[in-house]
Amino acid sequence: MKSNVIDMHAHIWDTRNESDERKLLEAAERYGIDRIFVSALAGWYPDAETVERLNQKTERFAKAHSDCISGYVYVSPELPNAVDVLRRGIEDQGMIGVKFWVSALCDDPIVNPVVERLIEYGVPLLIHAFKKVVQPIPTESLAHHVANLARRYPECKIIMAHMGGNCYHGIPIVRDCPNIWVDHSGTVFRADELRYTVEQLGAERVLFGTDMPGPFVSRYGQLMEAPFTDAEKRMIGRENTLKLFDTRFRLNAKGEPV
Amino acid sequence: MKIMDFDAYVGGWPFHKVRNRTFADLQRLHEANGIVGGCVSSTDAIFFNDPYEADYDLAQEIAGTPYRLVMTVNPSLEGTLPQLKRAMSELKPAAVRILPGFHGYKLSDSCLVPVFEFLREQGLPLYITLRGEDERMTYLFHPQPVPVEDVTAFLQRESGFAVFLSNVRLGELQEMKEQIKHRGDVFYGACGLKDGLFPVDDMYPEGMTQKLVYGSQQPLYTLLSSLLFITEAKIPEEEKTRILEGKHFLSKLKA
Repeated sequence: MKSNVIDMHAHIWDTRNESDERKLLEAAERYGIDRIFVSALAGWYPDAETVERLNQKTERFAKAHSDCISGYVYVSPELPNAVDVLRRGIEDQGMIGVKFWVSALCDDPIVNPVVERLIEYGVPLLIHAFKKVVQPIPTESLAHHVANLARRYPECKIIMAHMGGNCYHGIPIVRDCPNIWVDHSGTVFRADELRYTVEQLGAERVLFGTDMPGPFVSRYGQLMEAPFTDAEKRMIGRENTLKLFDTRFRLNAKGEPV
Repeated sequence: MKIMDFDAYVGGWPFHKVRNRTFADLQRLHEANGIVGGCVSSTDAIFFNDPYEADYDLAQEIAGTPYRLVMTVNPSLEGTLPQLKRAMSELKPAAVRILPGFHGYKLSDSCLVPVFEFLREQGLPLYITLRGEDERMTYLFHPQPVPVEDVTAFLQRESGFAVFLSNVRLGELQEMKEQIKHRGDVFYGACGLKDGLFPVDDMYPEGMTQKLVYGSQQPLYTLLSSLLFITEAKIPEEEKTRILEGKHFLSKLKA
């Protein structure tokens, strides 16, 4: 199988990173994935030492397999050294984007220094956002938090992960924020959510992400089964990601491409 | 290879728009993926006061096609047994489906006793739907997944009819594998096996693919997704064929 996609949302987990790395490389080989963008994660509220270790693992993995792996710098924005973690990630470790997970709501003012710095770098911010009815996390961002941040910083290139969890609630909230893209690693089950999202946002604002080591083929099947044009599938599968992660692609104060 | 989809639906869903909701949509999608027939249930039958209304319409629609009806019943309704008896001549179901999490009863409830007896008498397999949508994503109505321990106890307690576990997760199957191993007539579908990157690879060395058959849960789930889990698995080709053709389960359906 040759999927030719760029999977812009995958993980290695702190305590099992070697196993996850093997699986991701196996998936790249088996499914013909061109490139995988990876962030390392641990518990919900990692301390500074853990954050440093996570980013070292990502850096090591990406450099060892530079032909197919790229890394996000994981940032816990509430930690005092967050801006420095970002700086090292982009300037020294070769990371291509920034990942926020669940340690703080993404519209908490505490994130501002990090966001202002990443705008300078021109790299995208991938924000976990997941509305769910089972065991929500108190500091887990939802679509309206992402929209608040996007309106505060229209120059920031934001990716709302998982289509916001329940896409039918999340997508309408971010529809009018031109600086928000989404990745479609939502539920692995629903057949209609990708079509719904593309109908609402247009194919140009949807990126192919899987949340590996979660399932790849379920998301790939969603893309290939949808009645999109070949051009739309290429946009979602790789071209939108290439464009968004190009640091020369910048947005102005209205969230429009410069 | 004659691929069969043993776990498909026809119809809409109350909580979002379903784009491939008709039987013609299902046939078109099956044809595009080399699937030649299978078993279908009505999504309307899950929610209707009288599920028979929806089952009747679907039975008319699929008559004369390579598809068989899996009739949906809610055993907590007093009219279930008369409707089952009526269906045998009128709808000619291949199997019967129950959804305990949707209809609010347990697999140990007494309302199921006459249904199980009827299945034994008629040689009808029982589909047990363990969940509907992703339980994190429900809206307004929150059906609970059927607990693994309830299914395990059911498999130990009840016999005499074949069982198809619909929308089961790999982790759940692993918890039940001892009970399943001792039953030659328990099968499960592929649509819920989305735990991790290579679930079918993981199942094969443990012999767990022997009772796996293809079922998509289309149009609620993406057909191609569950198909790719099997076609792209690193298991012998003859094992893939066995899963996709499902002859071992086909022989259990009511003729």
